[in-house]
Amino acid sequence: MEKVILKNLGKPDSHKLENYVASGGYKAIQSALKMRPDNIVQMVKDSGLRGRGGAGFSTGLKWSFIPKDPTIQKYLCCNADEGEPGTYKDRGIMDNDPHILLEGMMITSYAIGASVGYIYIRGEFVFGAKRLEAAIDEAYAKGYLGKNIFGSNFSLDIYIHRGYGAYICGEETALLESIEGLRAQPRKKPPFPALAGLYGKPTVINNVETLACIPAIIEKGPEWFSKMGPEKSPGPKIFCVSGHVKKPGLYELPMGTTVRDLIYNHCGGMLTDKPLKAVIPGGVSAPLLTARELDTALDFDSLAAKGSMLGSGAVVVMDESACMVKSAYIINRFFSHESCGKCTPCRDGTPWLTRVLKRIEHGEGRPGDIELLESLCTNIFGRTFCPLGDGAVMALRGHLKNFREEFQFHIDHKRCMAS
Amino acid sequence: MVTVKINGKEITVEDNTLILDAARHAGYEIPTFCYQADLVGIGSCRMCLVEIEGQKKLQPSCVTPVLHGMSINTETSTVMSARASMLEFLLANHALDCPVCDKGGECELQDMVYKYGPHKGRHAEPKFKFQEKDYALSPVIIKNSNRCVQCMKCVRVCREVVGANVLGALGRGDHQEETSFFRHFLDCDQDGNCIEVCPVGCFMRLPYRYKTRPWDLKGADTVCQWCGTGCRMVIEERDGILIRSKAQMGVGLNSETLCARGRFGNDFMTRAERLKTPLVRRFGKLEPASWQEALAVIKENVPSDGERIGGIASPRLTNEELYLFQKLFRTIFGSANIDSSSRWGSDAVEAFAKAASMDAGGVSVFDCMETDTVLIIGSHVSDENPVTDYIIGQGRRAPRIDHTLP
Amino acid sequence: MLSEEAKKEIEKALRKYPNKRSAVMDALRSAQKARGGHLEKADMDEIAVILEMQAVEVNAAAAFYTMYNIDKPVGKYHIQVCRNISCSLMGAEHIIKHMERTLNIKTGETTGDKKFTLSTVECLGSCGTAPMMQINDDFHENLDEAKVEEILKGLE
Repeated sequence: MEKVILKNLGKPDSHKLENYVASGGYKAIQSALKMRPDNIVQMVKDSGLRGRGGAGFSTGLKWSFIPKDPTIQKYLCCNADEGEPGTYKDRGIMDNDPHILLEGMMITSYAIGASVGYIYIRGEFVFGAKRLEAAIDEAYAKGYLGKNIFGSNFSLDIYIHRGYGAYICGEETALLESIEGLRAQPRKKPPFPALAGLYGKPTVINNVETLACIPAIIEKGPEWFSKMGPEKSPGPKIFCVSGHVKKPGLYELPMGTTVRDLIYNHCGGMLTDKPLKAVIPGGVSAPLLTARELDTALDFDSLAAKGSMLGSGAVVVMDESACMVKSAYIINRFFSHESCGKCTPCRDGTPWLTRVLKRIEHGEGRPGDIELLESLCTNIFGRTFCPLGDGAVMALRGHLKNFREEFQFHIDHKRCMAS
Repeated sequence: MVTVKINGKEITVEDNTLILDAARHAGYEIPTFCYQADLVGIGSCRMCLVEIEGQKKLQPSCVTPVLHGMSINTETSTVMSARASMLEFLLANHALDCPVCDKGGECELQDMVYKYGPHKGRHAEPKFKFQEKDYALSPVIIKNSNRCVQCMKCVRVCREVVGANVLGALGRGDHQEETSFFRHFLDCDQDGNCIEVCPVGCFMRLPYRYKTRPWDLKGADTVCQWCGTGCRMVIEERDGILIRSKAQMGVGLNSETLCARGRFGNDFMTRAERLKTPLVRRFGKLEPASWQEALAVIKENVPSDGERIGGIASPRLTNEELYLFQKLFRTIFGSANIDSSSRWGSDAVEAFAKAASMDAGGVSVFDCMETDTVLIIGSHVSDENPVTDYIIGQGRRAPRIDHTLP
Repeated sequence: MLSEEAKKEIEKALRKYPNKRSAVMDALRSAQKARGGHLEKADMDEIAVILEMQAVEVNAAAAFYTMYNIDKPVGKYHIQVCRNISCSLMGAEHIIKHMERTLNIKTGETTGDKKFTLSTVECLGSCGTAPMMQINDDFHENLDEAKVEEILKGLE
């Protein structure tokens, strides 16, 4: 397959504007500026592009909720707060091809009528922030950003807002709070950001990978995009593979590629001769799949049908040496560490889960602990303010459902079954 | 108007009424920690989750408005078990030092656990402790963060109602702590409204500390006499000693607020130095006397001609007291010479009142907040009438910009 | 006192936003950099004045994000080893233990000469090159004992 999003990855100095232009970059924005904004929204709707941040909401539909009134200030926020463990695709784009993101933001801003865009990049990505900053400077110097870009009536400023260590900022309303200089706790919805977002103004928040798909949709047309992969979640998708495989890395493949194809054909198979035990298909919130489920297609709907989710497309592969109690503990520890503290079940529930999991992992499990974990999951799930607590529960439930006997073994024998 | 069904009972309420208010209106209690009518809803404590037919998840009734035709259930087993589970989560990291907690007996957490459960604890892990010891945030406010339920009302009332904005939440997750800048002494007027809204023993009044239990107190509803605002409050005593004064949510124009004087400044009432009998001047010296003696002296000295006597009333008296005062002068002394120092403003004030046709009678401070501009003349309202200042401030932050003249 | 450079950076940050408060994260970052890796009360007092915020609001914003080290000075090199799932599968615990032995400190501590602070973090978004760590601004990936030794030796 011809790469779309990662087409420039691996080329020398792929981050520089001249090389981006040489590879055909910044043509889509020039075509877009000749179109009517609502036509672009329609094109993106027709392409079937669904948000690559995790929720999988139709991007074109999201844009269409923005009020048309030209007198209202509107904002575009690029969600580059990549923090879901296992995920490093947006970093790959920003480090290596920042201009594809900028071009995507330009087209999006034009389509929704935004004159200011913010890139919310997580604080740890210092290299990526520097690359983006340099790219923005290059774009301004060329007149691609600022007043009347490419000689049109359209003006756009793009700024970088750096996070400083909070996974919750990936939740779109928490991201807005953070840009506004507040503690990043999610806002209640409604009102949705499309009507009252950043500084109370209509705002679109899109993931880096989502925005990076936009130039190609303009250039090659929505039909080309919608024909790639499954009908209901089409397009190219970056899978971030990590864990026990020979060649971990970023793989841009059509949506709907199976787990087996990804691991054995693209990633060179398992790292050692130990057999595969489990795969987390979409970042740690996604319930894991077992070796019996490797023919599952990696797309929004196929994974949902399996009780899991595509999430960010982070595929974590574990072989037989991996302890599922430890995995559950590490993942849960992450969520309780990142809980923002706003709502009761997530704030007080996730650390409780962590404490119990830590005990079991360290050979201090007690009879009834599994039932306690399950009961706490019931009490958290669906009752939290935002999806973070649900993510913690989904991950743990996935582990308990498929590897309950490992937990029981840990409790009964005070040691690990895997090692 | 919107018609909805709550637990099968049909009721009609105003548009945009919150489910929580509608349910209460229909006679169903919904527990909550973070909801307070005059604060912006945050929907965070999750105690008020209810079932809305057709929706998969339970919804927070304190931030969800009713929609026409909604069918809401507030007392199903799912809702009840959600309530118990939220309380279980809150207790997981709660200090549970109730025997030595000043809030014991009037603690909302205690009452809710008693009512909704869980009546058996499952959390057997070590708890996270913010501090080993309580710490003072001012000479009158002391803090125990281990008892916090994270309703944020302290921070919100300080920001949204009082306007001081000196409290904030430090940290996140279960380490989140509502406190001051670096936990130092608060740079504020020490009004203690954070204590008033705290549902648990997290923000506490230092002068009240370990003095009594709330069930040993006898209270009386009264009006604060520290300034002309006329805040309603309850003063509570034990064995004839005044222990504390507190506001009541929804009562009086002050609702849940009082100022520092109103909340902490009333102990003079039961101090030994306070005059408890009339004094009569005999041979140039004031001496204690009985009421009978004092009245006799007054009777002796009051002129029979009403024109030769006048009365000056304190501006801090209540309307009822002022009524009695003028009645005394008009009917007993036969005098119409009555005045109050609250009228002794500058000529400018009088002229302004006349020009604005306000001399016919006052309007309430809330009515004033409906206007475009508020002029404050001849008063330093934030010092002299703090609670009036809160009300003006809420208007100002609302943000219908008003001007305050010195 | 904030350094002149930090003040200039704050001035620059203010131009990005329609309100002053939004610059608080950039301001805190500049102040932390100026102090060599941590923040103190005085920094926040000063930022509060510049951004017209209450000091407690600056404090609350800073304390929410884990990368601001409030009242916690760090060594010249702040080593943050990732310990989340992908790194753990590839031996992060082993790297952490090795680091503790080599530097002769426990996680969370700073060496006596104030050169190194060792911390663990939850996922730095570099999972395909696990195990990994961040030293000050830079990522170091595909770690093993030998590579860790080499990196530490290279730090003056």
